[in-house]
Amino acid sequence: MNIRFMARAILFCLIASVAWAPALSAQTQTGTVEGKVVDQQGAVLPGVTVTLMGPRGSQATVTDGEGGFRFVGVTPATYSLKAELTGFASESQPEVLVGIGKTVLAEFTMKVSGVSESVEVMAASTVDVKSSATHTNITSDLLTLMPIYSSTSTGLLNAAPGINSNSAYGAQATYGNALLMDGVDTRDPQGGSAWTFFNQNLIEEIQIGGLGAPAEYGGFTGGIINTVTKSGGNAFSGLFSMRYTNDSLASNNISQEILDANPGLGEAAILKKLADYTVQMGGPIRKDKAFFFGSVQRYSATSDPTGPVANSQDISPRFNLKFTLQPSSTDTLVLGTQYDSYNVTGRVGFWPAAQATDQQTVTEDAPEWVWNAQWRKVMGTNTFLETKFTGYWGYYYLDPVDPSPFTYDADRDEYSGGGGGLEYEDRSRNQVQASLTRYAEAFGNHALKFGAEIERSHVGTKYQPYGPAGFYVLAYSGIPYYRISYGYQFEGDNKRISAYAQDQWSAGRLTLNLGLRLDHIRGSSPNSDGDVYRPHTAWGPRVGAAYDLAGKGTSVVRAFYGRYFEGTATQFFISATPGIQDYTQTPLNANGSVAGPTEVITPGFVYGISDDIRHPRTDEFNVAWENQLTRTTRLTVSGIWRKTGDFVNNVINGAQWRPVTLTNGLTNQTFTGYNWANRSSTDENFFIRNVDGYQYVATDGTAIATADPRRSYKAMMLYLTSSLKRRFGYQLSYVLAKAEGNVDNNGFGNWLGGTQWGSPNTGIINTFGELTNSRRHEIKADISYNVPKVDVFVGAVYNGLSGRPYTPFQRYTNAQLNLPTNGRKEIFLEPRGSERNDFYHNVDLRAEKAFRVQNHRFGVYADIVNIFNTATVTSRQARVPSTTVSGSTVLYQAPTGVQLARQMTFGGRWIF
Amino acid sequence: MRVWIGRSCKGTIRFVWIVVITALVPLPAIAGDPGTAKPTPSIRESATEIVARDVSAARVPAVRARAARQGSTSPASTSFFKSRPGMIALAVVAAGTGYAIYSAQHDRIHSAGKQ
Repeated sequence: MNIRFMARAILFCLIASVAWAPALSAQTQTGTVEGKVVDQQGAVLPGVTVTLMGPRGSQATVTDGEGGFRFVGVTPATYSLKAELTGFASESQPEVLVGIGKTVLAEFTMKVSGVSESVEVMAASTVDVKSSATHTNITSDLLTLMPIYSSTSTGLLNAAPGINSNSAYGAQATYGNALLMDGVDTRDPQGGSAWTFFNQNLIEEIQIGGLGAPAEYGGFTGGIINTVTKSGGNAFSGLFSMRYTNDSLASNNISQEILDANPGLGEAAILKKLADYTVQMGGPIRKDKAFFFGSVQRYSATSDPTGPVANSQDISPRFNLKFTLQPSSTDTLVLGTQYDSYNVTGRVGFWPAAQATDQQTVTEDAPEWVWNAQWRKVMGTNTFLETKFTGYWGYYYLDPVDPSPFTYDADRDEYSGGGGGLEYEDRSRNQVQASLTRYAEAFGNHALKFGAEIERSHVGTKYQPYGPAGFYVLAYSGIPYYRISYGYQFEGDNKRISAYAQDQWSAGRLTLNLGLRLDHIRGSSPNSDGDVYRPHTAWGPRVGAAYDLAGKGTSVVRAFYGRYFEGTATQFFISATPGIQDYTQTPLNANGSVAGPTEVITPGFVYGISDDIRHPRTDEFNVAWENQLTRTTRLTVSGIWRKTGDFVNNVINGAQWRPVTLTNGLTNQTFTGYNWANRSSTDENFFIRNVDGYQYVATDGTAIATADPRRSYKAMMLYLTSSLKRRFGYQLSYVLAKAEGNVDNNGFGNWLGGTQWGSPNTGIINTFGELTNSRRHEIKADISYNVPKVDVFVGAVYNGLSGRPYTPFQRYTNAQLNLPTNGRKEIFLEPRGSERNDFYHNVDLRAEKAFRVQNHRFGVYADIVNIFNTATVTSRQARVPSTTVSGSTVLYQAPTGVQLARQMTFGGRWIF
Repeated sequence: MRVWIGRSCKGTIRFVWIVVITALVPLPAIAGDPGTAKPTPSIRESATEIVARDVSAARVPAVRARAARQGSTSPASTSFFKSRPGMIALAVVAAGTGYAIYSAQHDRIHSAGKQ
């Protein structure tokens, strides 16, 4: 019997189990491929040559005495894996997808053969049986198939279950999320919002997570979006893409009924014109050694937003360049940069959006540079070193179109005259990171990682709400009374040192994911001596477990506890540095001329700040069960509990409050409010601290109430995924959730630097309830289908969301409450979140016809946003009994926001 | 250092030259019955044969050339950019980059705060 006959007679039963184990590297931009090779009898096979082949060459290793092999520091891409040993049939797997921070496990069973035959193997499992984390990965394939587009790319967060309106798992919208691009933290160091925008066509892969995150992740209490951009490879590649729409391709979904209730809504918010193109190319400079990737985008969009503004234009030429150098098989050097010249006209400035016309808008001059240098060193199969220097520099400067003074009529709540809203913001941010990953074996298998980070960021802010005029006119019922002047000019610096250690410890079917992170944060200003903000060092434990239920890598149970701390932000402390200008008023005659000398109402002052501050944090506990239903389909069920505390905000030390009787405009019932009894002697006593425990005191010194800020989130999540590479693919999710507390999770002011806790009126009256970003029910469906014979891809995205809660409030007078600014005089009439907007349905559709010519793929597609042109009211006027918009009275519960109208966008692309 | 060259070395050098010259002469392929020796061709006949061989070989590259041209359209080859798709790709990149650079200057808003 010869060898050839044996080979034909033996049935190959190669088992390659491929499981995802996103263990270690979340801030890293690489993955790991590891596994074991055995023979038919299960005996390990040392000396097997295992080759990993990818877009930038191949690397090979030999199995050790245990039959094991490992490739570390693997750049995310699609690879092929091959195992060869003389006397055995070679085994291969053609599509090994290595993702961000993921470990691909491959087990080969080799059969004796005299003829080298290759057998392709399909993945047997997609369940991660080692990790305690939950991630959603968005690949460039998904973005190609689905009508999902974000001009800033950070909006892609909302594609993941549990995340809506940029609020992730009940956390602060926008500001609570960590936004990473190739390891660069792209957040604004002032308040944590997105600063750097980037082209969606740059994306190789996005990982959205935050649940069960290991210790290398920090500086967030919401979610994480971790983006890896494309790189060049040994083959030249290119992408040419164009998108276009105009107002003739848009519908109007604002009904007359809605317009009658709120004339300020005007026409539907649509894109009047969009012309967005991208040209990209990547390839080798020297085969296997050096690669380049370049991308140029020009994004131009003119929109007609809701309200009187008719033309808002955004023009953003963006340039990206990346070099990947591999001087040796163990060293990788990545150098990248982005330049974005971001220009906006027709942006709403100081005026409310419901009243501003084009004349009262501001222009925005906002260029930026982003840089990224990384060195990865593989030291054998067990050790991997990664270092990075990343950062950005930029600014946005807003100037009013009409610099003449404006008039605000406080009685009518109306604006007239020139624009306002001069604002000059300067930013820079730099980070140095280093991490060492080490695999070891002792009482099981360990994947250890140690890392350190250093951050320095700078904020410069100049704000003059009245613009270059130097003042605005305050009027009542059409009669000018004062010229008002105020503003601020700050500079602040964030300093952070972080360190972490984590271990993924596997013994049998059980894996423990243990980690500890510390963040040492300081805030200072060039205008102050020493550090102003000195919170306690933040210690963040992460403890997770994963148990492979069946022992076959197809079903896992996970549990996790972790503590996350908020990122750095100058907004925590900036008011405690010099910069607030005097608040002045100059009396006027009825004809507008000056009637007397300027009076300083409130001199500029510096807030006090506590020496005993704890940085805001969130504790999370989650459990999950994940099961592979078929080879390409898996179901995940998760339970999530989160609690946020140690909120930092400002109070008024020494303030005393006199009870006053107020009338609830909804019920006509009376209730007790509070007048700032000793304002004249305490109006400069603003003090920054952890608000919990602060006592509101009556004029007789007795305690009225104690501030107890809190926020919690509970959710049950179902997630069913099937590969989108099949003819019919889908990702379906359902989330039942509730976010409640008395610190809202929407907007900036509620989170830090706000006025909520300055008085008991806004601190304790009806403040507890369901938060703005609390979507009781969330249904998301991404479905793709390849129509046979005509080769047309159809992708649909459905979002069904419970409407956002809102709370009726009433604005009381200065005479009643003796409080400055309108925000402090607005009191909830019912418990927070007592009302809810309508359930929101939206379906977006994409249809693409693809043509293939050799290695080139051409596609033309049409996207339709809101294909059914539904007009769900997304927000309502909450002030009782009404407010005034452009001279019209808008009653309580009248619509103030409507779903985007249906609009079609055409696109084309050439990919090779 | 002075090198002594003896008679044996001179003979060796001469032998090497003979081998080199011999190797440079195109030797006719040996075909058929080894016992049947082909007559040594004249130079005229050799030249004719060489030309005929080259002419016949020239027809083959036409096919290979087409294949080569097709192969060069593969992005894996650096000759991709000499192909029509490659040149179109370069032109598109140049046009797109040029317009974006123009836009970055022409559409730039210059704030009064930076002047």
